[in-house]
Amino acid sequence: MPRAVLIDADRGSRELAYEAGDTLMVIAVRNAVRGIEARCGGARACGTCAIEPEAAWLKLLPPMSEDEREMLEWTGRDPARARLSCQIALTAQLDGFTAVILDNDID
Amino acid sequence: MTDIDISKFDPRDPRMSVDPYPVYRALREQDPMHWVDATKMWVATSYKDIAEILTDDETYKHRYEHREISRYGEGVREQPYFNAIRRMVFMMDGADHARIRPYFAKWFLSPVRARALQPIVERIATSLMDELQDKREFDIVADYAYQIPLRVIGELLTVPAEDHAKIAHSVEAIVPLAEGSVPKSGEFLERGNAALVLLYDYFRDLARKRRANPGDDLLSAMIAAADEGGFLDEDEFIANIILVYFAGHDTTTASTSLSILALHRHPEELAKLKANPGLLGKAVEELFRYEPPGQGIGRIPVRDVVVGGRKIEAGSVILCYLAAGNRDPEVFERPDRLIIEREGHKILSFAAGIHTCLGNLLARQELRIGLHTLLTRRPSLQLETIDPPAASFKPSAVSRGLRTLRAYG
Repeated sequence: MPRAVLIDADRGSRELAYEAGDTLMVIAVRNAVRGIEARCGGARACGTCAIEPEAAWLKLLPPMSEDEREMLEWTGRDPARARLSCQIALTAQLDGFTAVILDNDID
Repeated sequence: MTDIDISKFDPRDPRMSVDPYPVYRALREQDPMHWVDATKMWVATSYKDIAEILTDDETYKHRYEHREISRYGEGVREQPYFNAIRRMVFMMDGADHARIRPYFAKWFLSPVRARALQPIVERIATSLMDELQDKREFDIVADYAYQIPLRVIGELLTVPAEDHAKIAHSVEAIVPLAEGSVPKSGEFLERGNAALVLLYDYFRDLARKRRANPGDDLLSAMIAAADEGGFLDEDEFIANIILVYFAGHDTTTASTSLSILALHRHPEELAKLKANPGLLGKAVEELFRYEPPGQGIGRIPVRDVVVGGRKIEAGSVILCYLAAGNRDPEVFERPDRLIIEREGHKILSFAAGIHTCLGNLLARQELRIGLHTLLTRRPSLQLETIDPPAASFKPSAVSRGLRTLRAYG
């Protein structure tokens, strides 16, 4: 099974097995990964599942939609580096995908 | 291990309304995917299984129409409650759900909107406290917790304040029918149907007036969505206004009053919060984890599945106990303790995946501001009892709440 890695700045990294087609956010929620809140459930409406992929992986992702860009900007992230994990559909080619979890605590 | 015998477990047991948590714990420890013969359904109590079910909407559906028809027969097609609820986005699956949800998601879940709602909730909480100024004793539920969401959603839907008396009582007749916690017969059915007919007429009229004079409110946004073709027809449009009107009432009333009770049961946590209001955001998250009003939600797999090591047949009902997942020690350390500065993991109180509660940011804000205003304005408030009798709790198997909570000081 392919795997993705999410890094929590305070607590080290989690390696998550996935099936192609799942989004990174869904895999994170299923594995109770700290810091991925996903309060809108994947509608790119809340900005609480943001991550910063490693540069090499970022280049492999399909471009983001206007909605995603807008949400990242609204929530103070840099769209040149950050992504919403709910918008990343994992494929076999992304095996080993690695990203840092951003601060998604909006309270 | 607890010594509760889960083979006799029945979700409808009235004792569950007072303190369901030891039972959830026994279920999770002994059999986290458990078949309940009494109600012919599975109950899920581990975080992992619940998260898996809720985030796989291809496999697990509501199948509302199928469920109602198979339980109550084809005759339900004639029932107003059935025709209203089947059109509401929270019971929809697949393409219908995907068509409507984005309109609500954009309105309710954007951080920009959350910021705009804050002063509205603050103003309403403050004016409620002003109204209670001269009352030394009052009911947290009726006089405060119930009033906040009612007035907030009323304002968002442009319901004139004087109309609440005409329509707000309908909500308590509809909620039990929507959550399926009462029989679909006799008085319950009659009252629920009558309430829906009343609300249909009321909101059809209100929407017609608003259409001529739109503003920056939720009702105007829904009218714009309808004009863009977001709703199939007027019946679906009005049904979803009714959903918005009732969905936030019952749950936020419950979370505010249950949270106040929980804090008074944990005076050291209450003292910490009073001393440091900066903890409020984290405290709200923890209170929703600890006492979620929506204790469980149902899903039906459309194919045979294996969850938590159990084979489950297509078409079976699985009741996911969100409140049990929230206390899974695999995810939350010392889960049965209220620790207001707890942080980190996603709580399941608002579900997960594409059916995540649309009002969750508003609910969080209402609880945060409701608590803050109460603690600031009535710092020496005491509860009449921190062990309310069974009759003070709502008699529902899936939605937890208090009917009354007397306070003074």
